[in-house]
Amino acid sequence: MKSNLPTSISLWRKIVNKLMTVLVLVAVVLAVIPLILILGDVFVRGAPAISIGFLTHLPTPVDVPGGGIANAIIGTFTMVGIASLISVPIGIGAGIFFSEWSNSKLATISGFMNDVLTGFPSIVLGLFVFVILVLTTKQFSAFAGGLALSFVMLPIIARTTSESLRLVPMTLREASMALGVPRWKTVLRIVISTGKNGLLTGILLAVARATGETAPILLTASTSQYFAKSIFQPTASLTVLIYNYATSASTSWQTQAWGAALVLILIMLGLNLLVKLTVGRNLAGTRAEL
Amino acid sequence: MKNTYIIIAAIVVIVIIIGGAFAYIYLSTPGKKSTSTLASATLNGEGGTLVAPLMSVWQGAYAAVEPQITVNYNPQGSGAGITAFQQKIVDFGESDAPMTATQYGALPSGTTALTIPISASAVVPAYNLKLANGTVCKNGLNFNGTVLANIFLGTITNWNDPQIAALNPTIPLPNTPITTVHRSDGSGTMFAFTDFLYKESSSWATKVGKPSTTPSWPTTPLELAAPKNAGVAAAIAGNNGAIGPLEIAYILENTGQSSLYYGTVQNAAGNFIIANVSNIAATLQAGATAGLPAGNAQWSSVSIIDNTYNNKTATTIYPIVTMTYALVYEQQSSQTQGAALVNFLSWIVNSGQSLGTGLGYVPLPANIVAVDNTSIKLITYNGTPIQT
Amino acid sequence: MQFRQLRGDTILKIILAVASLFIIVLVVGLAVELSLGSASSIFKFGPGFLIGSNWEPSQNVLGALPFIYGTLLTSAIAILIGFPISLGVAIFISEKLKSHQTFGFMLGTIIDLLAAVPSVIYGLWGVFILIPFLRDYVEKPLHNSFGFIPLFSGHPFGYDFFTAGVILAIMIIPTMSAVSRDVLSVVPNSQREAMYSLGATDWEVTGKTVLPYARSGIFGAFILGLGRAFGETMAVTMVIGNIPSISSNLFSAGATLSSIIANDFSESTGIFQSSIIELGLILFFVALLINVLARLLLWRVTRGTRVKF
Repeated sequence: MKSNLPTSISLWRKIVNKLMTVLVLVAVVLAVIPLILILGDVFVRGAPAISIGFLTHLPTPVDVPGGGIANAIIGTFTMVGIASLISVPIGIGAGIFFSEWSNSKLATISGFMNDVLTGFPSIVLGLFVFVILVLTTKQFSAFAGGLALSFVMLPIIARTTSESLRLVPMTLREASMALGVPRWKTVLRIVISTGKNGLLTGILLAVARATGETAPILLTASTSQYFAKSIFQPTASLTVLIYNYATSASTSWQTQAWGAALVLILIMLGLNLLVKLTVGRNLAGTRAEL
Repeated sequence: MKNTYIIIAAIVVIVIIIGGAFAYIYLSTPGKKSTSTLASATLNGEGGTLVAPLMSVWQGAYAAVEPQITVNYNPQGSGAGITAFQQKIVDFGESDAPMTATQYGALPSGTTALTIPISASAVVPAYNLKLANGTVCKNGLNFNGTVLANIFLGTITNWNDPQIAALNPTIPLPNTPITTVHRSDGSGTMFAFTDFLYKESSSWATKVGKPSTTPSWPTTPLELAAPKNAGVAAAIAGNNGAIGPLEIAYILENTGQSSLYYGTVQNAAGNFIIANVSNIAATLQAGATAGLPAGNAQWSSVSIIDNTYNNKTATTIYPIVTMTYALVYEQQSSQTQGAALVNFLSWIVNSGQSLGTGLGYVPLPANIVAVDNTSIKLITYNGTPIQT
Repeated sequence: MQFRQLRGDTILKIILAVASLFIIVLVVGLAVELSLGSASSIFKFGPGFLIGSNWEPSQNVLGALPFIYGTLLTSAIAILIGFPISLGVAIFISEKLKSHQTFGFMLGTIIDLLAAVPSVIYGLWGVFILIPFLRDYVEKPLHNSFGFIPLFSGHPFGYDFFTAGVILAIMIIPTMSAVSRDVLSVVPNSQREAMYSLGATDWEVTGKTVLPYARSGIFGAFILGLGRAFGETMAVTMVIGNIPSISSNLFSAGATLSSIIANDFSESTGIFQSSIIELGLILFFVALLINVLARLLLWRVTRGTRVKF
């Protein structure tokens, strides 16, 4: 039996369809081009500055060759390390609380406050630490920088922890409790080990975020041209070094800024790749953050 | 699940390897043996961007002399340097402009600030200009105070203005609008420049008023503000027809820039002088014979410019010369820090002066060094002077 | 046995509760400190601060309007450029690449890499590469051909609202496209299949069904991108020129709330410093508002699914 249904789509609809496809493709190209350009420029301009010496030496006076960014690399690691030591325990602790004791008023209020904390621009967090720590102790320090970074990391870790743990099926908890395992053991042993992928993702995301921050540590850790002898002294960092060198007039310093940018980008890419490996295609929403 | 363990293990291994490598580097940094009796200390400073390259030279040389003293410097601008000094979060502030009376008043009670000139530089009119014949205008375009004031007041708006042509009769000035460039943040360089304009031009004095690190720049048809000296340099270099006040060190250091040049300024004797180390030094010498105040007095009205702009007898003076100052407290709160500070300042002022000439920094003349040495002797801990 | 159990439970609960309490204390402390710090400015300038358009620290005349304007303008430019691109990318990955999941994943990863680039590197790239490019190949031609429109009337220098807006657009594309992708993936396939079975073209399926279904989620992604643009500091500071100005001219230099804080805070004292802290307070409130709005919108669409943010 011959069908009476139309077997072809009108020309207009075909054109619109093709047009939209092209537009969408254009959008993709436009989105990808800046990435290629930025990464390309950082690689091309930064590569000449990179050498073993660059990574292991201290800065030399301007225009004196052989200088490096070793103190900036260590400074960044130090401050992110301090920030992690503060924010990881508190963040995971709070995240567990939000997920496992979600009925409690404390959890609701704290969860809301956590969301508020996420929305703080990092420069305002830097302002805060400057006022309460730097002004009071009369000292710029790596510790103050680390503290400011910990406030950036904390809400990310708390949020991803609580989201990951919420995904753990209730049945697991019930089964465990039914077997007589105390609640605290259930939470620590069963729930966390099931959700640990998500916890790790959260920590890595937060670490990546903190490594790339400039404003909060500019206000609190100042800078240094040497290795910091203690965490209560100023320290160099990759981001502040890039900012200072890029806005200087010395062409040799500007080249070093690109070199430092390359090192920083490689670290960031490494961290983000680790995140992708742990997450795979699940927990898609963890990418979205303010 | 296994994936996670592998990744955690990988992270731990990487951290250990990197941490170990750096520990090795850090610990094997060449021996810091010193014969000095100074206790080890870290001196933190913040201040102007002008002196940042020179400071890096000083840090390197001083570390060889006194390896147990670490000096950190954060160039965030003269304004930031003064504020950090007032808030006592640094051991020394640094500024291209002396503190104002208000700033002296805002110091914590019971403290006295010492102002110690540590170097000097010149502010030059930097420009980027393609001439009417297509060539680039190199160093040496002539300017005087009135013309510069009129440019920044907005009454001269084009490069072929007769006032500019009168000073440069042989240059084929193009029909290009002038873009004025200045700092957007607090700057000692701008203080010096506006000081000169204030003295040279009565219309500038009426319209804009006294010199300031953040002057109220009159609106010109094409105006651009940029942060830090480097920002001004980049803004001028990137725009044909731009002109702005710049520290000479920034032009001399900026070897990559092919479109940044600077001009002469006419002095009171009538000569058009292009700033260089020797005539800046001559200006300093002449400007300081009028006498500088004691280190612990207020330096708000100290100005080499004020002392030299109308000196008709010194024919080689460059009229826009500025000193740059270290700011320290006379009363130190720690013996170790105080001793380190005294030692460092003493070294900069006496041994460090000759190290910056290659970068365009002028060594302080003997009379200013003498004033500095007296000021340094005023630094005390618990009432007793540290340097004997 | 039961007592020991309870003790273990209680101890854990207390430890975790303390951690949660810390967050509350921190946020309250932040709010208090910001308020205290801006108190003298609030008392001196009052509500007029928000609409004051003069910023002259040396004369103690301070008004926040130029920075509110700058933040809004640059974010608007960023959204105008970035949102269509993000939406296009999201549609491409979630609709066109349904049959090529790996390629979609790879493309998504590439776009996400943009989010991994720190702000200061965007600033570095902006100063040395984007500004000369935009100035010579975009702004000057626009100014020469369309200079009569107020938007393009200013002489283009490169350090202006426009460049800041473009850089912000690049920075928010990964956020907006990631969230849009997730939101689109939540739309049930049954919707698409129904449309196809009625003989719709690809675009009609997307445009008439999927997008409207995910409408509030897409809007939520839009708001999240806006929030990110508001708080961005370093990249904007390095390319916007940092002169407080309220001008309809895109090629005029300007300043945003975060750029003025970054620039001026270190050298500010007294009432000036208090005003800068007040700017921080304003910035925080705006970011908070946007955050709450975005979460409400996204929650409506994704409630009950595994997509969280």
